[in-house]
Amino acid sequence: MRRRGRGRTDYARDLALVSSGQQWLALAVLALVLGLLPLLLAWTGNRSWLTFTNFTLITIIAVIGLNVTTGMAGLVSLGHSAFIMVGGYLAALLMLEAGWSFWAALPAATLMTGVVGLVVAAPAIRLKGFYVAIVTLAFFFIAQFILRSLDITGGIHGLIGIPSPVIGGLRIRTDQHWYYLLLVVGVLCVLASANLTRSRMGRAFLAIRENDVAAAGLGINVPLTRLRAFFVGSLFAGLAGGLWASYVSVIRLDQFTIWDSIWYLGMIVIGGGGKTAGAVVGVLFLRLIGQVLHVIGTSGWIPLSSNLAIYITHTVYGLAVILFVSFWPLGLMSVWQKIRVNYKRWPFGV
Amino acid sequence: MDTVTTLLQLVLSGVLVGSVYGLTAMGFVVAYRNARVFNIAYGQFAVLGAFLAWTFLGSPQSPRLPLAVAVVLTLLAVVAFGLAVERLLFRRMIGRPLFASFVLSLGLLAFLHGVIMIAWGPSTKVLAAAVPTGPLALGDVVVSREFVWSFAIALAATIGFALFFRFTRLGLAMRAAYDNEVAARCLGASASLNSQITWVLSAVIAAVGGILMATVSGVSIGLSELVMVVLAVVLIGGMDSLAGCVLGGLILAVGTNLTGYYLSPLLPGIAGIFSMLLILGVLVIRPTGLLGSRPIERV
Repeated sequence: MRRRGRGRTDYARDLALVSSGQQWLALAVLALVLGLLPLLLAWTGNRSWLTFTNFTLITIIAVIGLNVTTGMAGLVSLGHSAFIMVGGYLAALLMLEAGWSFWAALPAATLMTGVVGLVVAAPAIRLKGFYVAIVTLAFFFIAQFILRSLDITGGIHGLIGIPSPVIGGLRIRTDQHWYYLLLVVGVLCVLASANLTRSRMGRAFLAIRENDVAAAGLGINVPLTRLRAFFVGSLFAGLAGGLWASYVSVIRLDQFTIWDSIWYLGMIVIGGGGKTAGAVVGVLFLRLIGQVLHVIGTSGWIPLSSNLAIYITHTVYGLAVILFVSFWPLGLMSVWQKIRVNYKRWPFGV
Repeated sequence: MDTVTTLLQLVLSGVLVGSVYGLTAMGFVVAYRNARVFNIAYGQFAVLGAFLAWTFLGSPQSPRLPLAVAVVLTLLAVVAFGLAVERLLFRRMIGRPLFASFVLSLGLLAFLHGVIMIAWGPSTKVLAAAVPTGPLALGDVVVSREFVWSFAIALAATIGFALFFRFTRLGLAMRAAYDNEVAARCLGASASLNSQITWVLSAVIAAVGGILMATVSGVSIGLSELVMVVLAVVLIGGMDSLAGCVLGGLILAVGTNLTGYYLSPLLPGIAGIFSMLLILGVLVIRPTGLLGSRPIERV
């Protein structure tokens, strides 16, 4: 007879990220698929799918950050695309103007974006509720204004010719090379975020999200924890921005819109707020819907102008967010969890 | 023009526009107070109202329906929209955390944006004048007639609004529900009627604001940026204060006019983010706004 239930005999096992042989097996299969993905995509003969995958990986890194700020700590940020933009511009400037290498510019830009996040969050951090959302929204427009006004950032034309990274004499140039670089960084980010949820700081984030008064009663410094959540979230955004700038090699203001911020929030809600896996699943879900709509729009099966395709995308994304909030407020991860629990308990329980 | 006339001109046109801002912000505050929804899709409500008005009223070159008929039809359509939004979306949000209804309104923002663009397209439409147009000279100061009419309409609507909340049974019930929902229900105030009236009022006010703005700037999706203005107004005035809306609208519009005139030559584009800077300033100095009573709750 198959064993039922959790079957864990010690605390370390309960705490482990990977706690059973089955999970190791699933992980190995996943690693194999991810490792061979460029070959699979090359087999389809369409190069744009690998580009799509790379942008998806960058988005995952960014949304993991927003998941810390909004999903875990409950601070609604509408300025996440602005933080990505700031990270991208900082990395680009460090490489182009200061002549730093990619490997020096990326961590520096990441850290500086984190500090920008602290500065932005500071006015609103002692206040409850939507003030953070409004402040980050205001930050989005102010950051665009500043980057547009400065000479060094190239105004509306942006910056071009951002160098790509070099690893041991190999210049990362093709989509395939970028895929493996982004995959490694992405996996590290997922691990960092998953570990964060198990740390004292991560639990403090969850506590202030659930009830800040009770959290303060437990001895958590609420404003400080909020600042930390913002700092960590902005770090991920800065990292994603730096990678983006180098991958695209061009950075312009119109690449970062307020819509992106909205989609990032939607991804978190659809995936399941607060869970790292949820953030990843949410990104995949919305990005895949978008890509399907894009393919349909450009294929010529249905006569669509490119504008109309964008409006349809807006409508569908909006509808997806509305449906999830109304009917599955805990997101796709809760659906998966329900299936898993039912499977484990079968034939007992619901 | 001498400096005093210029200043007078800027302030006067600011006051006229500010009254419209103030009125528009009231629709947001009503939804925030009575439905406890931070409705970020509010700008789209205004755009929808303006496009509906354009559909019924037509452009100056090709007017469609007589003014009275168009007004009635637009009003009916907007009321239907308000009821639909309440029944299909926000009624589910009663008792749910603020974050849920906020994300719902984000989804609604994207959805309405897409639907409006599919239905009416991206080009700017000129709205057939519902009010007289042309310049109007008051001494040395010249203002446009549509602004004066907008001011009059906004003033009348604001007063009507104040009277509704102060003297009618329904208005009092809604205010009571804001103070203490359970107690209000025990005293016989209907929660579902409250919710319906709230969203109808919010949608109608948004539409009126959108139409008044559209008589000056034309009907386009760009009107949805009104939500940024509204956010600034409600933060300055106080999230839950209707009088604060009027005050916030005046401060914002006059301030934008003055920065636009005096600072734009030095810093191009500063007038566009003046409202953002004002938001930050208010949050640092007086987070409850000038007339707000209690800080907004946690997400």
